[in-house]
Amino acid sequence: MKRHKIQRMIALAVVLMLFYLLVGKLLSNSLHQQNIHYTQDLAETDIQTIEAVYNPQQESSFANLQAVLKILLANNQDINTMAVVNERNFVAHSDVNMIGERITKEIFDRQREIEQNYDPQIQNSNFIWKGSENDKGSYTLYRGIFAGTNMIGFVVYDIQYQTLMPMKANKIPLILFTMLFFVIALLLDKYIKRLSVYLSLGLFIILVVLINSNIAYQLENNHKLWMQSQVQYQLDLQNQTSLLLPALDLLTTEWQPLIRGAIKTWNITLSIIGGLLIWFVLSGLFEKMLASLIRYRLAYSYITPAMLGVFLLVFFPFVYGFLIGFTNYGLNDFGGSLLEYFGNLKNYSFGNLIDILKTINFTDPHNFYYTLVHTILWTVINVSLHVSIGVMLALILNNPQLKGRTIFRVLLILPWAIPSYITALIWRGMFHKQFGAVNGLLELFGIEPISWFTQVHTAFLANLATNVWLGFPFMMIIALGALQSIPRELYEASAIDGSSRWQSFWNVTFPLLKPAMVPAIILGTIWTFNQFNVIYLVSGGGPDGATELLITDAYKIAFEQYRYGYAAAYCIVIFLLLFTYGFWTNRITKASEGVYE
Amino acid sequence: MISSNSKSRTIVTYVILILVTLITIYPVLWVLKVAFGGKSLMSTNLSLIPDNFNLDNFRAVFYDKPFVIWLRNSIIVSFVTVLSSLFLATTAAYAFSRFKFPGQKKGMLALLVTQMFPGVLMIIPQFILISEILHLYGSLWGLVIIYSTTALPFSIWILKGYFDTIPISLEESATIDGASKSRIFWEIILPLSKPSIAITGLFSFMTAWNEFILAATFLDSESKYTLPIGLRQMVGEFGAEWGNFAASSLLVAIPVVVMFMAFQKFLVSGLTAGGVKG
Amino acid sequence: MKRTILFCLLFIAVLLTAQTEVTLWHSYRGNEKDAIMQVVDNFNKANSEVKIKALGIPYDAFPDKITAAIPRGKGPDIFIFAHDRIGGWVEAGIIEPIDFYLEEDISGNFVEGAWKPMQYKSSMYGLPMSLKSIILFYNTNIIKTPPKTTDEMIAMAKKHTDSANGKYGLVYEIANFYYHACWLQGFGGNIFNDKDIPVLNSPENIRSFQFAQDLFLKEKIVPPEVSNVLVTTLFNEGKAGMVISGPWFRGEIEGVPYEVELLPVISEINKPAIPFMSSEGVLMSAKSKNKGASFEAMKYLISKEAAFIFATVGNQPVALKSVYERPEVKNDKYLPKFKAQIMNSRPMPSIPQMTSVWSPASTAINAAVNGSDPKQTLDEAQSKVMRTLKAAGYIK
Repeated sequence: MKRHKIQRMIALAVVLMLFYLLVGKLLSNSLHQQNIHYTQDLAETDIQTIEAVYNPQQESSFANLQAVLKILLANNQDINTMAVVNERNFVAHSDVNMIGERITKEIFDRQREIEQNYDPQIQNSNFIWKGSENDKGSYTLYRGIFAGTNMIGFVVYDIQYQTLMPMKANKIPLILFTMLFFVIALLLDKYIKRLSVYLSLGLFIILVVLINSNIAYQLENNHKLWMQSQVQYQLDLQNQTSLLLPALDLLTTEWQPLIRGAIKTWNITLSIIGGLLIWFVLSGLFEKMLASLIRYRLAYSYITPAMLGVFLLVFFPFVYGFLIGFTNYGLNDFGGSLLEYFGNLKNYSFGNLIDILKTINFTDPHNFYYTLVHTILWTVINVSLHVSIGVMLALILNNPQLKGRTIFRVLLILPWAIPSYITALIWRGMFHKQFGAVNGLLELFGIEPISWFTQVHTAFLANLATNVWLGFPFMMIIALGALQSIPRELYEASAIDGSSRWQSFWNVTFPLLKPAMVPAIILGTIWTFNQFNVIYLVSGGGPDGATELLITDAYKIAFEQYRYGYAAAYCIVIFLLLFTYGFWTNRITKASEGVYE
Repeated sequence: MISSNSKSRTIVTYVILILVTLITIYPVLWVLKVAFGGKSLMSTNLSLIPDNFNLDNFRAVFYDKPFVIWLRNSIIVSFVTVLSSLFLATTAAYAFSRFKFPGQKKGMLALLVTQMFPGVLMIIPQFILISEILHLYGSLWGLVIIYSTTALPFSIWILKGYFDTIPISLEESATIDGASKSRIFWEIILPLSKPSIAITGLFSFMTAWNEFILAATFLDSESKYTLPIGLRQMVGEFGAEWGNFAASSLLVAIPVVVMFMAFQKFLVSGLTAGGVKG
Repeated sequence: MKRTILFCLLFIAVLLTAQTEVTLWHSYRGNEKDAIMQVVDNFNKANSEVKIKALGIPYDAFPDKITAAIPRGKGPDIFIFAHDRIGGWVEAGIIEPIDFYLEEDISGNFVEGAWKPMQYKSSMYGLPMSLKSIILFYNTNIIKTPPKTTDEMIAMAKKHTDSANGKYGLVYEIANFYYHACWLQGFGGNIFNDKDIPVLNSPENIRSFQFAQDLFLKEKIVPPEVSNVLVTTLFNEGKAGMVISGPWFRGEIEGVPYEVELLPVISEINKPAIPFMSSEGVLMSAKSKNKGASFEAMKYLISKEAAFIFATVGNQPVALKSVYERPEVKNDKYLPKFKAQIMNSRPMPSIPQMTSVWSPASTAINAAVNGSDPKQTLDEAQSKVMRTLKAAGYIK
């Protein structure tokens, strides 16, 4: 028993150490990531080089530039990029990714206005003007005209990340907080089941990233406000030649409380995770996981490569989709940094979900619930037709007495082999009122030509026919494969027992077909639910959006209305529906269990 | 043996089969009609014979378009996808089917979950992943990675379903003979699973063979374009080169049909016959 | 440190010599692709410092690829697209204003109406290359003299309509809002008012919807369920007397003698039909690393030599005025007509709100053509668009 405890304590110490070292490092890295390779140590900056490039003849322009650089350096600020323009043309523009500031005509005009309104002396000295509303990045662009030249210089630097960089977690509150959360976690231990532990751990890690990038965002915002007042301040002080110095002095004092606040939040989030980790280790869960990892290493080594691959590609898009589903992410947010957008907690709300779900109306084609019912109907009918036609054909084609079955098989998989883009459009043509083959066939039976795409149920049938045609070969192939695992002796035995064909299908074929078909059906359901091409190409969602599926709706919202957040909320709803379905079928059919277990 | 009853049943079977086959190939014959004559996708007469039979479209595809380059890229991408996804899927499916370990069911469910989030909005995060994290923008390897992982959940589920139907008694006797788990896997399970390996292989192949939007988004030079991009380049905002499109569609379908024919023998041979104790 | 040096090198590079590669994305195919390849070739032969690398991208993937790639710095330096997306792309920070590079006012070099669509909120974002609007095509075997008014058009079309045999006098995508806009605007209607608020249910718009309904239901000169595939089919089979389509349609025609004529005057109000015009231009990515060189390339694409190739090889109604003076173009059967039609057209709205209009407006025209009351369908479309725009925050 004692050995056990010691083991746990050692594990705890190791985990906590790793946690504070790695997680802390990782998180701060994630904040600086964008920046880290842009920043440079100004102490090493070879001003001569810059000078040579800028304007070798005109020393005076560089006196000024040097001054700016030195002041920035003295204040521990990093200059990220510089660019030089002459009066009219952009000559160079270093690393546009970084500048994030876009010079439009509007800005240019404004700048000229300012130039004209002030006397040459101020014009030659320093800050003329700073970014505009169009400034989408988290960077600030300063523009100054260097004395005695017609060169306009851009000095770009940003502070938010640098101020976070030296931030160190203060250990005493950290430990106190950690203990507090540990106690809370312990108290809640009884009520929390294991799955929720993994979930909450994941959530907390996301939360920490969010809160911290939120801090960065807040700092940036405050900084912008402050900077605006500064520009005004600068312009008021007309007689001073070097205006930069007081500005930077102010800068450092203004930022003190902000930094303190940031450290506090940082500490709290770290503590929450720390507390949970202690609990995780002390409650024995960690040990159990480790033990099972070791014990079942063979099994895990078999599945890890595949699972890693899948999660690498799925996890990030999944988090992205989930996060923007709770925002109003739209076109205007496109240019900014994603991390920054996700960091601003103000962006989040349940507005989208509420808006989608609030009005219940089963007859209005533009209502969520109408589309939901239509989608479910579409899925159920499609999948049942796919499976029944597929299995029927497989059973027929599996009969060794059947002549020409090789040819039939090849012909029957053709819908699957030919790119569906063209065949779906051919189907659309086949449903044309006047020139379509379907109405041509109906005419042979004396039926009046039908205008397929003007009524809901006929448009639905047209979509259905196309999708069934596209989808049954797949189920047929799966069923054909599955039938191979059924030994012929079983049928013979069943025939000897005197059972009819139907009985032998029910008693022999069906149970052995099931394990292979169930996964195909579950996946087929999910795919049909999210079927996009057929609706888009055949009926186009018409008439009046009555044959839209949830997924085509989501597509239209995203790419026609540019409401990405709202579309993502649609996707979340679709996901939750399918998740419930998957969970439910898993329970009912025990699909993951074999017949021989 | 042959009673009149079973004879009439055979006839009914043939009638059904021929009817279904006719309906199935009718649209395919339209593709043929378009490919062998003319530019229009539709036609006002319903006859399936091209109004003006010629091979111009095929000639155009081979001479005016870099069809061979597209084909080469598609073959590379598809085959690497098939190999890597089959390797990963068979091992994982075997573990899910034969081992008992914590997280087994959750793992299967998790694989299913990955299929549920609609792909509509995924282009941008996937772009970030491929270009900024994996640095594979513009490379065929980026596509291979995406395609094989896309095909994995399905392959694992199907293979596991099939492995489950292979009697465990076969392995037990091998274990008694002293075979290791991995030897059992390679020497007993895999040969027995040829039908479903063929199916999942074909499926992975199709995933890579037909995918358009990601390929068009992630590739940035025409020498790396795959077949689906080449095909869709024939479609513009207001019109399309339907004749060339139909001709290339047929060419695109040929490898799939050939592969299917090659796999057919796995689908008919009834490999497990005789090795079962019920 | 590294940055600085890198920057300095870059700076020198741009200023002095060095070879820069400018990536150009386009979605041209057919003749237009031949033309752009030829133009790029000529540019690369003539320039030692800047080279263009062209990449053709399927139209279906083009906007998605632009929005995914450019914000991550992987996109092209310049790309060719119609003006109607400019507003959205500016808002998303994807394209760069080019005012700084324009040394002089060159707007006068272009066909009237070409320059303006490239502007958004008083900044220039692209240089216009070609202008596309729909026009009346007619099969000269069937129609000898093209109609001048809609009454003439209807009478002529009726004469050549034999629906039992699949022959129609007039074939165009009647239920497609893009095509319908020529009547809508001809009747004096509009989509947005000058405050960018949609006005779909205006009396003029309703009249135009009634007109389309009559063409289909009363006069019965237009086939049912027209898609671009059907238009091509009927025209190529000699079963369509007249077709309303754009310059792209020339690439679809096979074995039918044809000519083009301006869209007719609407007899009811004695004013000509006004189609949508889209100005296709070359735009600069906001993340281009070589903006100076990119602009050089852009300028070449609208140069006289390039525009001449686009007109003669690509069959494009180019935007550059002087090209139409060249005898090869002046004596062309088609291009001067296209130019004349463009002079009588209206640019498609480029504000991002427009994308929310397409789907409700198409639903409305589709319903109206099939017999619904025009006023009612437009009222519905109007309220639908208003709802979407309010939800997206464009209208308070």
